[in-house]
Amino acid sequence: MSEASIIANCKKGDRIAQKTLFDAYAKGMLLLCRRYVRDKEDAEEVLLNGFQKFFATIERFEYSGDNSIGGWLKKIMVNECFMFLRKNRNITFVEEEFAENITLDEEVFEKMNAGIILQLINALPDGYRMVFNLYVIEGYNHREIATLLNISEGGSKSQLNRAKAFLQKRLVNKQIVL
Amino acid sequence: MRTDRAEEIIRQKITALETTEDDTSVDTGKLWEALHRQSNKNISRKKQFAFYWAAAAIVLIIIAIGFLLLPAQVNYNDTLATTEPTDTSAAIFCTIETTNEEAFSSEYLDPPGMYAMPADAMICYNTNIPDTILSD
Repeated sequence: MSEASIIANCKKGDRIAQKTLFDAYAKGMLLLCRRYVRDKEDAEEVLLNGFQKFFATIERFEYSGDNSIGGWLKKIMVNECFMFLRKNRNITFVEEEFAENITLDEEVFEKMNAGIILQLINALPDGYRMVFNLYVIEGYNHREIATLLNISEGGSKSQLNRAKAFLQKRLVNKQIVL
Repeated sequence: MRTDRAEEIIRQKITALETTEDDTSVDTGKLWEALHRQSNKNISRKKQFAFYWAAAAIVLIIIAIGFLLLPAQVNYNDTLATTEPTDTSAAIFCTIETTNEEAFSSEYLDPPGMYAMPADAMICYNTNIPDTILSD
């Protein structure tokens, strides 16, 4: 069954189509949730809330090709993660300017396994990790991040550079096995 | 377009990992069941919420109707007070429990037509009542 017809059936409230969609995306979305919410059970709670929202608002979703479901789900999940973190954690962002503009070593990351990169990202402190995930992986710009996290654009840039410096330091210290 | 090549590599690798993720330790069946339970719970919560709102609305409507009826009764009693008979020997001091004018009847009153009110709604507390009224 094509994704377009699965979506059409989901809109009709077809449970089998909903389960097919859930099975196809749940694992990947759980991984995304765990990039923001480290605890597995918390991440699962966020995932379920996200899917519930997805199915509740599926009428408004227009299928427009291969990546459209994943893209839409990602947006929902990221928002759910932020709602969860705002409710349950008190995350502080360092607003001070971080003068140094850090550039990560591309060769190191080229050789590195995706699972290890994920471990590295998950080891970042909460504030750094959120900005790093949003900017580098989700592709948000600093203005969008600033709005989402209620910080300044400079604060967002600063968090990103601090995150990169943290990653670089871990690589230099050879704490990560390539 | 991002210029940092390392960032681009990280983004591609993580996106690919999340797209092709097949972690066997994640039981999607269990998660699906949990999603079902959660949505059912939410539905019953919604029903409960709707029930409480409906109950509150009914109570408010009853209170509102009560407030609307109260002034009507008071007004009628005021009118009644001005039509008290002068002949106290056969006087009936009554209060009224309805404002339905069609149900009014004065045929048993003395003098007839002196004060109109529904015969079945009268609570009379004067013992000096003519037999013509009591016998009916």
